[in-house]
Amino acid sequence: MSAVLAAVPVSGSWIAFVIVGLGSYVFRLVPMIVGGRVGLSPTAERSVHHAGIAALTALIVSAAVPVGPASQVGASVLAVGVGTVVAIRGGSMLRITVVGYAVFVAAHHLAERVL
Amino acid sequence: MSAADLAVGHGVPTATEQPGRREAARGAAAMLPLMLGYAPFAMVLGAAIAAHADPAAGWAGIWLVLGGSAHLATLRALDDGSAWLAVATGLVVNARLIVYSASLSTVWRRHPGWFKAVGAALLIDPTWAVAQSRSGEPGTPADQRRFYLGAALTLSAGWCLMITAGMVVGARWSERLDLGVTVPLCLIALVGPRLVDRDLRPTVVAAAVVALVARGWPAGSGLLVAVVLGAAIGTVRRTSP
Repeated sequence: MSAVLAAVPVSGSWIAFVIVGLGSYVFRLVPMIVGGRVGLSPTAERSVHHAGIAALTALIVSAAVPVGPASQVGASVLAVGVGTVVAIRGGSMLRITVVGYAVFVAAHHLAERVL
Repeated sequence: MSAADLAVGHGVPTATEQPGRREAARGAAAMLPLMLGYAPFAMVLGAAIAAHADPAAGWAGIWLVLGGSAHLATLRALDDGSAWLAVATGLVVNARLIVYSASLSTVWRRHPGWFKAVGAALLIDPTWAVAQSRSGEPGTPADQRRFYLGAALTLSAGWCLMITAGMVVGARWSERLDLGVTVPLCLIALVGPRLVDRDLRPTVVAAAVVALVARGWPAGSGLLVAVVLGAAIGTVRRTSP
């Protein structure tokens, strides 16, 4: 298969996506099935729960701190900070998004004028 | 048909049909703002697919991979000429799905096999977050299923449409709007209440620091480190006196 992948780039793309897709489906399904049948210990359940929150936090932070000019990064961090406060106060997704985006646009505009 | 079957929604929908539809609509509505946030990324991915040597394979990757980061990483590695590196990169980036799946094993224990098979195929960061969030709310397992499927199918269809649009029009217009910031805002909305959970605070802080430090690391490896650290903190705090 290695030779096929190397020699035929078009087929290689299909094979690569199919393998990644199948592998991803295994990642998505097998732990759920195994965990449901075997049953996780309280410690393992707790570790998995914390790991999930950690993954989501890491995704939020990496999306909130984009690679770009300082004005964009600063505005993005400020917007996410304000969005976090609104979320903690129980705001809906729409409110968090609208308020956060408004803060981002205003801060970005201001920063570009000042800097 | 047993009472248990009816309780988990295996029966013919009768009086619960309307609430069921409402649940699916609620799930779809929960995803709509998030789709707006993902629009710039979808456009960028669409433009990358259009420029790829085999756009049909790239487009098929939307449904095969169903994950923007892994899809784009795979595509870029393929463009660099290494199919095996592309496979490895895509799988490493999607390895966090193991954690999501494992954490749903308890939440979805009462659901039937068909739902696990379908639900797993649509499992990705936002759908995991809504599944976790909905499991803590009142309602039957059938309500949870309808909510999840409403959310996940809306996200998947919208994701596919946006990427396809990106293939046609390119990424330029969406970059002008700077909609990328709405992605973390929507994710915060999904996990908001948990951010102040005292038990989870060390995990959240540690993961945030790791994500900041590891921003430039290759192939989502920073995310994996954050996941491992989060799991370790969960374990240590359990075993500490």
